[in-house]
Amino acid sequence: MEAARRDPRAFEPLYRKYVGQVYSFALYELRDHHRAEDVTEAVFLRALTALPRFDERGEGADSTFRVWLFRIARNALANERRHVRRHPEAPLDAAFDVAVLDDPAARAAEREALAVAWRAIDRLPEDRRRALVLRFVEEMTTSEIAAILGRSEGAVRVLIHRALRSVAAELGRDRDEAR
Amino acid sequence: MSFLRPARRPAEEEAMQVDLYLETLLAAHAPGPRGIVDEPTFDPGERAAAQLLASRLVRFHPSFRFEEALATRLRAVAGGRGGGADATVTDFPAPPTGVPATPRPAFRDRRSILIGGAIASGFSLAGVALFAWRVAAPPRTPFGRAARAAHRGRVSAPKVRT
Repeated sequence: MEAARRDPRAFEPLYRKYVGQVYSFALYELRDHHRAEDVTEAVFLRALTALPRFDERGEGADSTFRVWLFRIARNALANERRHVRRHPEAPLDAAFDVAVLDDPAARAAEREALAVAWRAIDRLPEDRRRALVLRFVEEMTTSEIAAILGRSEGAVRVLIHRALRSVAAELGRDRDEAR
Repeated sequence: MSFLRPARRPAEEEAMQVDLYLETLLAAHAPGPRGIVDEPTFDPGERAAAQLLASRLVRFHPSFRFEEALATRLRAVAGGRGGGADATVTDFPAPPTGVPATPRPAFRDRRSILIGGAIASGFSLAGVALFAWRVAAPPRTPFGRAARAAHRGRVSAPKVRT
């Protein structure tokens, strides 16, 4: 981190480490590969330019940088969403072209399980979905999420719990419909 | 004046329990020594939802082509220079044929990148390195040695005008 601040050419390892996380975060928000790529590009270009101003805090240097990077991502996504709102949104599962397994039966089961999970989080309000993605996909701690979303840790815990409750209710409805 | 912490509201108390459960759940999904997952006291439906999300919400990775193109752009920005006058436009090499560990989105339309000056892809550098190594390395088999000797003979032989 310090090396990258002194010499921007040392930024590449940080980019390689976090590009997938930032892209994934953007994709879950925007549901569009191209827009997620555009946001990812904007985030890293902005981070590289702003790197000299980044103030590394004492504890958990690695996660401090990640929080800073995700704050940039959150702002970039807010800008992008203003544009997206003017266009119809695709459902989340339609944005993903998933082919993970060779076995057709297993693939079908996997697709169905993924579809159920996506459907459940797709119907969540924006802030709840974002908190869940940061918790489950990016595997961030509550304090990291709080720092990114600009909320208290307690508020984030409650947000995640409510999101989980909504997902559970959605899954219950899914099961009832299947019967 | 009381030194006792103010009592948490039930919603916060419940959320704290869920948070602790998620911590152990996600740690159990991570590689390495596993933590002990205590039997949680909150709703089984929410627990099932947490387990589903922990196992099914995958992290996506951008396409190889995009990642390399952006790396190139960042290198150019970091180096404070773009493509020089001698730069040429060329297609980025196709991605490797190996199956990625996580689902990857379909590649978007082929993009072009600049090659020249300080800009080069990892593939092209690896290709040059492999070629240089193959040329410089001594042949291991008698057939290889014979082939190289014959090639050297042809190259060094005086040219005959016909």
